[in-house]
Amino acid sequence: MVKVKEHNNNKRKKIKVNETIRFVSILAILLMVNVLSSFVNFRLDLTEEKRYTLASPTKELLKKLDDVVYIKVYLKGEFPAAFQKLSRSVKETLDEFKAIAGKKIEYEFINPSDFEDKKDREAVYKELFKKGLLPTDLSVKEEDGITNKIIWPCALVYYKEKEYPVNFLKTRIGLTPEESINSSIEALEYEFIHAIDMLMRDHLPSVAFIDGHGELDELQTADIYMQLSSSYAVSRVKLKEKINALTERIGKDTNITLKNKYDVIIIAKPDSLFSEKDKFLIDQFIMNGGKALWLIDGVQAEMDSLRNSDITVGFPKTNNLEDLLFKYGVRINNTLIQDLQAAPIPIVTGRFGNEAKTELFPWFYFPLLNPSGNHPVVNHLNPVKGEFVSTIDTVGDSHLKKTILLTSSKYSRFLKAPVRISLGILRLTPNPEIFNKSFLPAAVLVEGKFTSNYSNRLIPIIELSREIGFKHESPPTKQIFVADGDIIRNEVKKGSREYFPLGYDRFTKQTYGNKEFIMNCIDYLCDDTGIMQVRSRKLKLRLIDKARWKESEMFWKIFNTATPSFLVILGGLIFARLRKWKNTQKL
Amino acid sequence: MKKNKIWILIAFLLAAITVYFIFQTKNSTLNPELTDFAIEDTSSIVKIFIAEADGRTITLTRQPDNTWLINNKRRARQDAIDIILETAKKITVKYPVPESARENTIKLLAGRSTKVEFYTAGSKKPIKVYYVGNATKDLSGTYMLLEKNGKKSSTPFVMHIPGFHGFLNTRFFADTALWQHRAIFTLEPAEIEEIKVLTQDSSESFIIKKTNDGFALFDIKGKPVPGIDNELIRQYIDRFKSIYFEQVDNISPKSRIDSVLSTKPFYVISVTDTSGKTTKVETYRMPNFKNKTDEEGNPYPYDVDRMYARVFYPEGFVDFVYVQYVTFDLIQLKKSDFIEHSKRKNNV
Repeated sequence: MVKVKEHNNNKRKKIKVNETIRFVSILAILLMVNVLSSFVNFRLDLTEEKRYTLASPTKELLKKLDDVVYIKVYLKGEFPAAFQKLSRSVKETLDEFKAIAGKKIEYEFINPSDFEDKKDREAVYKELFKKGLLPTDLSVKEEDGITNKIIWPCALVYYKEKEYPVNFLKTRIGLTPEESINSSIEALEYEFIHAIDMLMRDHLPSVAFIDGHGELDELQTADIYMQLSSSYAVSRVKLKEKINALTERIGKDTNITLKNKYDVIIIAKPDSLFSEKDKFLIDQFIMNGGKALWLIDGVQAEMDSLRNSDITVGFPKTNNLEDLLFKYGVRINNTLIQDLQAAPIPIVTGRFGNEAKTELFPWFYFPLLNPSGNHPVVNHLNPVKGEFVSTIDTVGDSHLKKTILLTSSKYSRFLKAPVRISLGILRLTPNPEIFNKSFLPAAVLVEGKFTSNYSNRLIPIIELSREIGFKHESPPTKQIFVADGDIIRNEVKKGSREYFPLGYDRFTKQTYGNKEFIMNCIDYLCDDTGIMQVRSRKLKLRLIDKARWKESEMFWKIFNTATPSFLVILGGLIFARLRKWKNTQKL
Repeated sequence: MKKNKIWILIAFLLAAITVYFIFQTKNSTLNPELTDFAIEDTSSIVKIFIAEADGRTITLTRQPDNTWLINNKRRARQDAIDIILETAKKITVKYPVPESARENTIKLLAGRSTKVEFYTAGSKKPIKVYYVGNATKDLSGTYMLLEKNGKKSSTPFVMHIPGFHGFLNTRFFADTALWQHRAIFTLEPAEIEEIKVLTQDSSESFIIKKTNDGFALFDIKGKPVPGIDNELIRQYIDRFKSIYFEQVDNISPKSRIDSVLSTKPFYVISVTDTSGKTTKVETYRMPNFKNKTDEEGNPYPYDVDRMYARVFYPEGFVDFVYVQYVTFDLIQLKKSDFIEHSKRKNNV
């Protein structure tokens, strides 16, 4: 009897030891599987918006790479969790790129602050800034107080000895830091593939500002000119009714072929009339596949008129372009948008001693135009500041694809010219009931095959001239029409040749999305590969609903603390019961 | 027990894979074997060997007092040593050479590069060997190739120093004359025993000797010159702390050097230190090669900025160098300069 008991005791001990070993082994295995999963890049994209799947134009371009793209990412080091998340996303995006392009994509994460010597660190910062990278200055709470940290959420992309800067951080007015980081993550794929696309181009696409009709001058478009120059061959061209102004003729006699000299033309706020010949030149540029960005005012109104007087009148403005634009599917109305969502202007409200006291008031004639939908041109875009904006209608040919890009806010209205513009409205409290028109269009993209404005209007000798090479219809092309010329105009310091960045409001120190909008317009017009489509992808930001969270805060706190313990105890009980049952079975 | 063995085996296997991945975690997809140009601790480097494509070689060795010698003989320029060590420490990949240019770059590096080897104490094998090629077109990087275990890498890189805009190949050279330390006299007053200055007019020559009271001025025959302001002598001796030449003349043809040396030296200055070692420098006028003219348009008879000089070092080396008046005017004095200055001072 004693022997049996001893035997049973030994057996139990053995089982206990075996089970302990098994338990420890399984625990170790689970732990290591967990650790390993962070190293192995395996992912099934089950997300609703396919956030981890590259867009087809990206894949196509990556497959076309014929040399190594080397990317230096400067987002490495110790920084807040949001930037760690951004850094991880950058790595994931690049790993996705690598999965397609293999050894043609190489990258490196670098900490630009990793220098003992302050002088060295500053030299590196200076170098990166010169290359077009923009740092972020963050205050970080540490044990011994708050320290300022400079973070470089950016990268340099190298391809065939050329380099291109990429800035990840997309800050927008009114966005929370989480939303900004999310926006930045959304834009990563586009930013990288756009850089690669720019580097892969053998020649820079050409952009020409049309001159000679009272358009904005060099200084008024200096900032966008500089910005465009980094990616495009930019120039200014006077039409002067010359047949070769926008197109060139190759060959002789019967073999003459027409070729556009520029990829895109910009017509920025013309002030005087276009002659029929100049209009014809632009028309034929479009008919030859050229693209155009039109920034045209429908009403003549300037703030300068309000400097000496409280009142001015906005008159209908004509540039003799109406028929051309109508033929291309749009009409810029002689109206002015008034919007409750508007940029402020300073107004003298009184005096404090000898000093004039000024206050900022929203000036309803300066609407902050919002992106309409998530078209690549306007996705992730800050509001665009307009000045005396007209409304735009889409008209005519239904075979043309028309996309509204910018609109006024929900609370807006329009006034027909002639219109009395008075600073007096700033003294009145706006009545929301009269701002009863919503989302008035201010910018339109038109795509498709355009018909010439001069079709069936020319005498045969011109129509059939080989030298002129008249075309009735264009190949598929694109044009963007904006009903405000000031959107592309940067502020200029009076008395000097200095200028402010485009979209920068010196009164509120706010930067609106004007520059990015114009850049996106040109990028989109020049984009033949569809890469701009990548810009339109949107990732859902699944943030905690703070209102709901406040309501059930205690419940979730208790649930999150107690549930794991409860599950462990439950598991332990089941395990003990099972073991007891197993042991009694064995005995 | 058998089942347990399987679990333990799986656990060990996973542990090994985990360790592998932990050590493999990289911030770069570039192969570190090919990009490992930098030397973190340059203070451990005791020897640098540089070989240029034209056959010139140089070995720089660190001495116990942290000075460096060229080919174990002459002292090397510390500033150039500092730059080469700084480069070795901070050098990093700017970008890989494009595949389309790789073959050509490798060819160029094979034919026209400078080989650099770095050695640490006690190791016969270099710890780092690389080949330095030309600068890139935009002059912001330098083509380089690493050698590992005696084998040249197949992947060249464009290298740079972050924050520095320029190329690095000019930092690696094997020209002894350029490496040479440019000091002629670097003696503290306490280290000086005697200074002898011979001028073209022998009556203006003088000797300054250490005496029990400090230093005293003698004429060339050894006769003391009375009434000389001691402060003036002290100031003069102080100037021998830092007298440097501009560069070794390795451009002038031998015939020109012979012709210069056949003329009478402008000044001959010999300094003997307390250990009895003498350094002598002879200065010669340099013709006005640049044809500089005075305000009236007449060309100066000699170069107004520089002179030739022949330096005789105590170790037995002799250099033919360029020196600047701005340096040598401080020590090329005449006996009468001391006398007149002392007189003026006494009158005051």
